[in-house]
Amino acid sequence: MGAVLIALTFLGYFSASVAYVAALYEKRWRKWGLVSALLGLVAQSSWLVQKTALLGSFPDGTLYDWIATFTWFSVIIFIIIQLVRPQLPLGGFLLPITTMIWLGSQALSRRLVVPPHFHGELLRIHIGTAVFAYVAFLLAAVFSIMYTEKERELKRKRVRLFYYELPSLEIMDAMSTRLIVAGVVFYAITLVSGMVRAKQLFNVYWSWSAQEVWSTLVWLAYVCYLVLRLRGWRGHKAAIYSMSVFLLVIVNLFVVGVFFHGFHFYNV
Amino acid sequence: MLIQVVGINYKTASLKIRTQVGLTPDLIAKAYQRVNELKGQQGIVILSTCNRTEIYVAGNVGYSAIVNWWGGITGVGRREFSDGLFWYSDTKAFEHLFRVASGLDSMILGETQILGQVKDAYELSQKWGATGALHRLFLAALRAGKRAHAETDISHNALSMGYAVVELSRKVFGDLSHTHAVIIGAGEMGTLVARHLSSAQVGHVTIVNRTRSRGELLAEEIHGSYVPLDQLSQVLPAANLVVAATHAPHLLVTKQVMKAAIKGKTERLRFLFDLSVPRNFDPEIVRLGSGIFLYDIDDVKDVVNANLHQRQKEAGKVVKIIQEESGALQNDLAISEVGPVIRQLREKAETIRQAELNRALIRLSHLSEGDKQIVAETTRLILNKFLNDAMIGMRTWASDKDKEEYIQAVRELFRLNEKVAETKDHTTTTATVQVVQSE
Repeated sequence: MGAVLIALTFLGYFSASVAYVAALYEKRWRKWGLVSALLGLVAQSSWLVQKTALLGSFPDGTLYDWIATFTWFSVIIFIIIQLVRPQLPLGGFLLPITTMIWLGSQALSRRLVVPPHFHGELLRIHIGTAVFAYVAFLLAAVFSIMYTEKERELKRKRVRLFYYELPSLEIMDAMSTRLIVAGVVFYAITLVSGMVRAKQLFNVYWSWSAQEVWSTLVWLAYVCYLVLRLRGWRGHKAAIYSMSVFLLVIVNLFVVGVFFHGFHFYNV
Repeated sequence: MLIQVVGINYKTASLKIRTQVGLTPDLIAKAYQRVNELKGQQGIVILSTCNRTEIYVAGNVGYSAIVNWWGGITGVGRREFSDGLFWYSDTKAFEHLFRVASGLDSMILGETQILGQVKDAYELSQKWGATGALHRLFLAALRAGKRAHAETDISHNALSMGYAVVELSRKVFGDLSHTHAVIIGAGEMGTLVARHLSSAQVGHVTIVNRTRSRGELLAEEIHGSYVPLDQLSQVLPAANLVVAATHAPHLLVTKQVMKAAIKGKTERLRFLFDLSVPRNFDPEIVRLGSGIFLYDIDDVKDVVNANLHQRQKEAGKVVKIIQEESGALQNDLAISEVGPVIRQLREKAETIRQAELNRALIRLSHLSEGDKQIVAETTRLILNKFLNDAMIGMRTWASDKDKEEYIQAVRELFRLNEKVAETKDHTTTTATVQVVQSE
């Protein structure tokens, strides 16, 4: 049953990505994108329900499960945005990235090794805010990609797809910043709650594990983005910066989280 | 019933002829007063704009009668303008009006003004009580036009230079109410762009012009401010939208001037339009910051062309809508012609059945109530089964070009016209009444 739901999730998200990319060229594909995304979402939701029933609690003990939750939440946010702004061609940029991340997570271990006494309110906040923060960073990166695409067409003076379909540069620039502000706040909570929980469990706030260091770096990089904006950074440079920092987020998930996890032993 | 259109437009005739036979509001009033001179007409709508004059006529009226009538109103002999006329009837006429209403036939592809003009023409005809059998056609045309604008992008994307400047600026700044625009040159192009920007709710517009009086005049018109040309470098730093449209033979904004203007804010988005020939902006300016966009007059023209291409792509979708609406209208019109005959046939049969049934039941008084009902029900079923095929057959005539003859044959065969004359049914079409009178 689980395997069938995973296959359906893949089918839904993958075809939604294809349809939304096609919708950039021909709008009638948009509805197929939405239908596929909903199919994927229903399949993934069922999978989460099934797993919750199996475990007796929400699946948050492995990196595999965490990425599933992250994908699930991104798609929900995406669908909400599409319902509010049906004309915004977000899907063609966002869903391929989300689908790739989810697909990458399929290679991860599904073995649950986190001891039950680790669980608690703080850990839940730690995991939950990390999901919110990463979704905000992902969306900020997507708005930055859209910004650079539209900017390139305007600079080259050969108006085509993005000139007609995407929102104005100013709006996309502002959206990136707002999302990064939100992400920085959520991620600060993630870091602090993680430290406090570590103190409770291991009696140390900070143990210099790779995951801790890298996550703090990511957070600082985003704080830097905000500082640079205050110092006059706008548009192009800001967009390139936001996209680059999101690569650090991906590295955090798939390199640091997998190979240098320290006491984040959720992928062993 | 025949529906036709005779007209003249920018494609078929020169401006001179169009002006000669064009119908001004006075002439249109005159025309509506004289509609009865057009024998056999059952509805007239006159559509007159600066690019076209079209007369829609319902009823059995000859082409030359319409042209003569038109010539009579304008006082122009038919020989002088008949070469520039076009004529369509039935489906072709419907589709022509649908194309007109949705902007496909306009000089500026997809423009929306014509839809309002079609509506006005229809309402004026109604006011004169002249619309007659053209109601359905015009309602369908207005629907087709509305659908074209709502369901496709046919009317989107700028096709004029002035509006293209606004549109390009919106692609960068979004809402323009926070932008500060500087317009250099209060000539023809400068004025045009200034008006467009002003109606696009730009935050503030500064007019920079060599001649003070002219600059101030334009500034006043669009509620902006005026700055003399020698103070240009002082207004540039605050501006994020700069349009140059002058005849100055040299660069007005050099790299040095711009460098000073953007100092400290190099990343800010700035859109510069150089609509002057020769150039007023040094093309090297774009290297000063990644937020600077510089478009010259050819670049803006390229965008306009790309926009036209977009609209042409949308035109295919509009044609589909037109075909749908035209099909629906034909069906509608046909049913409205066949409908009365079907109703009359049914009424006549029902009257006969009732009369015969009553007579028979009097003779069969020994039957119980239940048995009487069975007899009544049987006669009803016989009648229905007998008429059913005829009804279905007549409905299929709706799309047949010879339907009027068939309908006439049915009328004569079942002597339906006599009944119409007796009842003087107001709901029957004028056509029927005329046939009766001619007998």
